[in-house]
Amino acid sequence: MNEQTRRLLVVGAVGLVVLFALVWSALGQMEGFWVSGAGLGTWFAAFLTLSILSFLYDDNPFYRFAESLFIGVSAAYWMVQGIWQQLIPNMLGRLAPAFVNEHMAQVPLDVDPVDRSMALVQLVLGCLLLWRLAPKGTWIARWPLAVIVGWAAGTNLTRYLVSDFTKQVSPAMIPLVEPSQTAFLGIDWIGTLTALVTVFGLLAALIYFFFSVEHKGFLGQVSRGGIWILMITFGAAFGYTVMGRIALLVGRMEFLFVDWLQVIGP
Amino acid sequence: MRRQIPLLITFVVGVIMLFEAFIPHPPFDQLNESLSITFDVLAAFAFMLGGGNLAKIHLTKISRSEPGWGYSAVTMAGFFAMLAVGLFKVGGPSGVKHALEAEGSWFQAAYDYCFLPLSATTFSLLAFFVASASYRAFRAKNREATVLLIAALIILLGRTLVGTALTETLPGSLELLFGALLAYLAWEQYRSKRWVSLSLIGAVGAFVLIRTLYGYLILAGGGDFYLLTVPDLVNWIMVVPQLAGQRAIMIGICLGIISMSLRLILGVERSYLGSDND
Amino acid sequence: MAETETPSMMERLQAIDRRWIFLFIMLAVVIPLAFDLTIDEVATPEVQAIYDRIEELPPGSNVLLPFDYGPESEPELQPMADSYVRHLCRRKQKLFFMCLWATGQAQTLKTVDHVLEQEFSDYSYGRDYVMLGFRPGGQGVIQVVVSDFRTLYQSDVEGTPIDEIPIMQNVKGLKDMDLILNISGGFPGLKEWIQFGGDRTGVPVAGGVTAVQAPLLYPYYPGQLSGIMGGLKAAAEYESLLIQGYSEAYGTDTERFAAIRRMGPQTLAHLVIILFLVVGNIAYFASRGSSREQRKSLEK
Repeated sequence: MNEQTRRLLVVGAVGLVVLFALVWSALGQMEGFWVSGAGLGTWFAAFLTLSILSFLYDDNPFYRFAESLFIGVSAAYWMVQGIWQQLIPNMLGRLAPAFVNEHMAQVPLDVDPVDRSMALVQLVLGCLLLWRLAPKGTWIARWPLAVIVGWAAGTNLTRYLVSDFTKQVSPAMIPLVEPSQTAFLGIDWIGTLTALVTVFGLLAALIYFFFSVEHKGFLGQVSRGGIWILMITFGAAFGYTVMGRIALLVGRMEFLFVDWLQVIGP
Repeated sequence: MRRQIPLLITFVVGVIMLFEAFIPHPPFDQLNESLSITFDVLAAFAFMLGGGNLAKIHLTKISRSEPGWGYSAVTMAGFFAMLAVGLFKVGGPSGVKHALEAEGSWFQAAYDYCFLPLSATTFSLLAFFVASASYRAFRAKNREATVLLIAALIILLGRTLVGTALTETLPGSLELLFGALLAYLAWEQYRSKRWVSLSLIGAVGAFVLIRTLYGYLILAGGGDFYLLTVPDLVNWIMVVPQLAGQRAIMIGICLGIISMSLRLILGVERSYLGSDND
Repeated sequence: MAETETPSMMERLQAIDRRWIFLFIMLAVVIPLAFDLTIDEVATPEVQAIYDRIEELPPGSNVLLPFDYGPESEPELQPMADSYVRHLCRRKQKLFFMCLWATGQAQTLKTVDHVLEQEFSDYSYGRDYVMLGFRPGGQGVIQVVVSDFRTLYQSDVEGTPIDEIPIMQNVKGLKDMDLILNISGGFPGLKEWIQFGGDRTGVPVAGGVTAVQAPLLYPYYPGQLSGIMGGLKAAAEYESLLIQGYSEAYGTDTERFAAIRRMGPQTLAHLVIILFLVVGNIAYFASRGSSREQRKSLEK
């Protein structure tokens, strides 16, 4: 099969889908795009969905169109949300409450003077950040960036130390043998195995990450055990990733076949 | 000047936030609040910076008629349309004081019929690529890769209806699997004449055998004895070895973040300032 | 020499056009959609823990529901969000919706419009639940709301000043919540709620996350995280728990439970992936074996 026949086949298949959808909707089995705003929206959404999926066959103008649209729309979406949900109520609303209250959003009229001066600082810093877009003097944007970096560094240091370090160490300091009245030899073997893997698995994996000592002899053996634990970890992560990705595909196929074409009942 | 002041700002802000964790009293609690709001407001400005940057790049491309400028025009059309619809709150109740997502709002319609399908479908493409990768790239080339593969297979099976169905119909199948694995390991050790590990594996094998027989014959499935099932095994993998490995990674990353934060606050790490040429 | 020979079946199997793989996986998802492949799920302890935690909360408790996700993880997370709201409303809890993702409010509306307003007409806005909406800043937002919601949320999504909303009368900061039940699609999400919210205030945190994130969050369970739900399977388990626990309401009408319905396609797709993994490896080892033999025969 040469490239041209292949292309014809694809165009034919897409044409068939469109034809089917048109006939199906004309028969009243699904909502036509001419029926309502929602109908038009669903058809447009289906067009965009199919355009993106067309990338699976090969790169093509429909995919590039949808991809370009996605970039523009999502950037604007976050920007609009940032302006309406944060800048207007929490910055402008503190700088000029009367104006904002009258024209934009309801905000308290009495503003604490400290809050007002902080809002001014935020406005200045924000403008400095946006100065990065200017042709000259972009170095000034380092000031607001320094605030962001300083804040993140200061909070992360303590939050990570507490949540990801100290609180992770204590659950790994547990009794290694789980007694049990009824089990074989009076020991809960699964519980014991669990405790052993919890403690020594963590230690072995940590030793594998510890590069200050050469991994030879006993340490080498332990770090090999660490690799095994990490491989199980990555295997589980892979399995879960597959699970997540498939679920997203199921969602899209549900949209195409249940919501749009309505060939499969909900 | 261009470098010293930002370094000073980072130091002061970082130290204040650090102190606040230990002294949550005036003036640190108020400083924490003010600085955190500033951070949040700057995050909103960062969205604007992102949008502005996108517009700058694509408008330049369009004005210079560079190859592919037509797609840049599509990006910009989507960008400005969404911006206009959102900023002026087109549709919905009159005025701009209502919610962005209010009924009838064009912004919400654009979300439902444009942003949502584009975003959801783009991410669903990953399902195909992960399938293709499973087929073409995931090879059990050595022992470590085999462990990874087996763990992935067990998780994939266990997190489906099949895993649940196996629980009810095939009890004890995992004991067999485990036994087979032990036998394989024992054979490997025997071939390479590693007698210490062979005897260890033999001991584990003998123990599993005795425990299983004990459970079957004496407890008859009662007491603390239970057979491994696929979902049980998946849960155990997730909560024990997987968790141990993940915890090791978490602690490693945490130490990295802590040292990086210290370097940032103390001004040792300066890469975020960029070069001196801008 | 080997290049000029016609490739063996195993080699051809290895070099198969990936578009066939794509088609295969698409069919594996679409075909089961047409059939009703459902099964009663057995809940894992992590999922059961969230269910029990909600059951144990006295009626009228304050539950914060941060919806931190967007359309890209909706198929996994929307069923969780719907189930949480169903369960909390059955238990007569007070709900506080907020989001750290710009897309979160649109997703909140899906749950509020399709579940809360349709199925729980006795729930009234402002008295039993409130939508605070989105604020940019990620962990910076949590850092502020720990002490006071009003600093960032001067009004709710509708524009009503916070102090005029009855449900907010006795609520100042995060510490006034009895449970943080997060639904998270990435950053910022459950990890930040643990680090900046739960660990700081002592308020219990639980939540549902995408399958991709779940393994990374397991180390927090059960100490810092009361329960965790990863991906569609966990969502289906929770739905099963709801159906069993509230059989008088849901016993016959299981149509509305999306995750259980999606587990059919999910299962077949998993089986196909397992098949890919196995066949891919067999083809690889068989062709490697045969090329090794060829090399040996050439050496002779």
